[in-house]
Amino acid sequence: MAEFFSEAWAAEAKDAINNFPDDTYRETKLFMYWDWITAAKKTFNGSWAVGVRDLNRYVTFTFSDGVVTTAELSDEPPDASFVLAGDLATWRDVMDGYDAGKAVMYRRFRLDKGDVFRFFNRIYVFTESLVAMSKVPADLPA
Amino acid sequence: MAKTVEDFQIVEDTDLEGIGKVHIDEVIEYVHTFKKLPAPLDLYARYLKQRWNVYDLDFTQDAVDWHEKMTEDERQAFIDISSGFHHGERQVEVDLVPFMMAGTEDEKIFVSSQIEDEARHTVFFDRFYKEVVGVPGETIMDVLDHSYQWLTETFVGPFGLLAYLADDLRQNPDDPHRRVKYSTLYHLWIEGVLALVVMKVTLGFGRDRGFLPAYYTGFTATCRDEARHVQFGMKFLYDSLKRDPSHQKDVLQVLQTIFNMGGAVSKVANTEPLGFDILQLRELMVGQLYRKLGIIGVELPKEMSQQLQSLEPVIAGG
Repeated sequence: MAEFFSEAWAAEAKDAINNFPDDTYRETKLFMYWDWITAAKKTFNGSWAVGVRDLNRYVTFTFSDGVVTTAELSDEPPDASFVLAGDLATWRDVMDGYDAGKAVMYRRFRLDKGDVFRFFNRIYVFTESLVAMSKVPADLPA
Repeated sequence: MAKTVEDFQIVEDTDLEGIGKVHIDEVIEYVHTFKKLPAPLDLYARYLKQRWNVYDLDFTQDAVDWHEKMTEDERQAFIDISSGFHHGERQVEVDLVPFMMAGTEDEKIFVSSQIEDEARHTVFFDRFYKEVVGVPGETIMDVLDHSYQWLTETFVGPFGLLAYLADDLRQNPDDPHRRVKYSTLYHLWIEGVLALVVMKVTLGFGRDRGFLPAYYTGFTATCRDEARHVQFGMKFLYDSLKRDPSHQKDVLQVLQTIFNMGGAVSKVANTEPLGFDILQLRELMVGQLYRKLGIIGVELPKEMSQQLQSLEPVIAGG
């Protein structure tokens, strides 16, 4: 199992976002929802970083025409289009199944960098990508 | 013939018991009936007169109606819809605080009363879920956590945007553009459009079927509270736009984002068991939006008007 927010975990998270959702999860929501996400993803050519604030660890995903092409690890807030960060306790909850959208809505994740409206124009791309990341097994710090 | 302020005297003056006998359409109409948009302190005086005690409601009959008279389909539809309000009230309660950090002192006084209103509305839903639906929980958050399962993923769009705009406003509370954007989402869209539509659905059902009398009373009183909030917001937006017409862009930017998010639908709105289909809901929503835009003097560009016609209703409010 990869260490949380390591190079190996970032690479697996990238693949998880690109391959998400599987058929079982897809069937739990209307096709219109996934169509919206696909369309929003396709027009996003930029970068989205997620971070664990108290570990000073960030992963920046680069999106190009609907596909995540790179996942880069850094130990300071990166210069990405959007930086969404939460503390380790929040990540731990999300990894344990806490609703990612709820974590956004309750500001347990905060948008540290980026235009709020542009972020929300693609909000479900990001919330479902958090769900995808939560499915990647990880060894979290104690 | 258009109704006048005098026609709504009962809505204006009645106590909690009396508001439970008023038709919801009258209260929704009351939102839009004024000789001129009221000043914040006039609304504060109205708040003191209209404030109600959420613990005066007795949900005993509601629990009987819920468990013994309503069908499973009706219960599920009702819970799907009211959960959007349960969480919506919580969101508009906690996210209003940054708006009170700036503005005139008169506005701050009114907003303090609105925060209390929203807290009371949250407690109203907490009582309904615990005493009628039977949701377990010791704290307000326990009950919210339990009812989260009935929300759709797309609730996070407008209410997450509100949370993040509140965060943005908190960092620069005097910025007039941030305030107008925030108020457009909060007062115009969430309270002035979404809330009034959802109120009509659940209250219309309760009234037509003669079910859930305490819910009807408390939620109709909530709707009357919303009238003050919406009128405050419309005055704030009207005055802001009059002072600086460039705020029109701010209003449209918020609505454009809402419309963009509105294309995402993860579940079919389950309103038909309560007597409303999706077309009726959209018509109500569009009608409410145009009324508010008319009050503040903003016109939608043609492309946005077209987009609005295919917008999927969000079943939530606050």
